[in-house]
Amino acid sequence: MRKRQILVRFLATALVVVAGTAVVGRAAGLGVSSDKLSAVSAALPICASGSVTVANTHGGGNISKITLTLKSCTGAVAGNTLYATLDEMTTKSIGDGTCTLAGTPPACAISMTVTYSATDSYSLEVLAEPASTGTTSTSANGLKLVSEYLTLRTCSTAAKGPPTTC
Amino acid sequence: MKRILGAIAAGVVAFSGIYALAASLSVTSNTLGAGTVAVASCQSTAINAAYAPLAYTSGTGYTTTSVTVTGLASTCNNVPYRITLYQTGGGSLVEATGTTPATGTTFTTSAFTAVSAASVTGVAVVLGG
Repeated sequence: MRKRQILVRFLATALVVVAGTAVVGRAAGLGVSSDKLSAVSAALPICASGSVTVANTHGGGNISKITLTLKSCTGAVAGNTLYATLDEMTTKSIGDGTCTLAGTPPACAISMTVTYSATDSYSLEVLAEPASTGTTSTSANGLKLVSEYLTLRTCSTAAKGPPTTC
Repeated sequence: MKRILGAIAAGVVAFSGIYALAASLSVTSNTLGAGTVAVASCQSTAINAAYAPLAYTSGTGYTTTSVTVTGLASTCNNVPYRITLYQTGGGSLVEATGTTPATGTTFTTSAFTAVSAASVTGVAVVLGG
């Protein structure tokens, strides 16, 4: 009697194992592969407020030159090209230009002749190209993206003439 | 002995009936399989996104019309890409699509509609697929 029970248990176990093996065999037959794919995004950095000092040179009733000095922004270094545009809030862009940063701290001047009113409000947009640093972001599966600076600062003043810091 | 034989006979008859019933039930199944696989990135070293050229447009200010990607590994050559410049809130400003070069570490997207540089707050890159 005892031997029979053992034999029955053995046969039942063998049956389960065989069935399980068959299922595994079917599952193993499903080949799954994937192309590589990554998606990552990064915010464009901008300089902190007050990181650009702006000096306006006046000639008569006009601004003849603006000088941009970087105080603390890591997004631009000597040798980079700065782009700046000065907007008067109602007539929009009234002057723009480029210059190359040099010296320590990096600074450069853009000559422009714009008629301005000391009581109007203005905005100044400062860009750098190429920028050598940026923010790094990493996707879940490891793709790293470094986004360089584009606009260093955009700043405005309210009815006090062009900004002196940006 | 007769009891044993009778029991065996009864069992055979009963099992035969059940087997016959089971055999008469037609069961079919669609094929089914399941598997998982990790989706890998084509490179783990950093790629760099820069913006050029910058052009001045009256009323808009400085604009950019392309993105230049550097630092591309050979394992990311010849794969589809999608690059999106987005604005505050995550809305898309402009997208560029294409295929990375077959060789080399740098590529520049085809020119897209000029977007105000000051409006761009981030960049998203998809490689592969």
